[in-house]
Amino acid sequence: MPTSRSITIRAQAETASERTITVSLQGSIDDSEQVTFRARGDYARVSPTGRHGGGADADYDSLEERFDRLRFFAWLTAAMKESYLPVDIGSPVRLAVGLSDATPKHWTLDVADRSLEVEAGKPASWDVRYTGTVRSWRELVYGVRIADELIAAGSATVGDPDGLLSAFLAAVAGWEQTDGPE
Amino acid sequence: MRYSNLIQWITGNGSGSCLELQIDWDVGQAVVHLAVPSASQAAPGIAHGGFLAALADHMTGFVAAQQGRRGGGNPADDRRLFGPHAHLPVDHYPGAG
Repeated sequence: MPTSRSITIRAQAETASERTITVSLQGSIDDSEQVTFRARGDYARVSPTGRHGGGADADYDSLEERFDRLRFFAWLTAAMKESYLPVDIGSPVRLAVGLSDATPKHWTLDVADRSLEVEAGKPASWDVRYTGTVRSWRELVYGVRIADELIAAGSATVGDPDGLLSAFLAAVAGWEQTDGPE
Repeated sequence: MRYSNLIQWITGNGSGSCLELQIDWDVGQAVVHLAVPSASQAAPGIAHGGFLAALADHMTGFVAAQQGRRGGGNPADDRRLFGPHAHLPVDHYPGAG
């Protein structure tokens, strides 16, 4: 592929089964429409149960004991941003997250249909407010426990007047509160 | 559609120094238009294969994720597609163009 040329890359799914998706891609130079590279990706579907449930591949409880709470929260945040996929959540959702065992204590998460932004600080207004330990936040985001369970256990308090927490979790974690974790 | 994640050199960080890759998603096809930057050069005038592989990885992953969200599998498993790359060959024709 020559540099300093305008190109167009197109990619689409070739086959999609219950467990695998094959995606084909080709790049071509705009001027000549000459195809200059092709690629194919084979992807396997991994159940959220296998990824998060039971902590089969990571003992998060032990990790939380070994590392600084704020560092662990930063890892969670990075993972959320990395796994974020564009979804239609209707309107932007702003979360105020309060951590009872880490500093900075206050964080603002803005989720729109095309982006997830996280920064330290307490927002002037919010759609959803969550206050709890870093561990409870991890359990919520990873689907280990639903909000009602965390609240009942005294691990968290949640303000969600418009019922937007579920949409937030669907956007950043791929599952919804309505049916709980697997 | 902007596929936002931590791969800032591809999707951009607002600094203007990245590819600022914008993916158009229409009827099941992802399309990207870009000018191959001279900074990607390996052999004179030719983009490095790793540069193309990164673009291919980024776009095929995007398509797989979009496809996964639209069903085709067990609904119970369809909340999120995490796609380990089992296979991603790139055929590169360095002399083309």
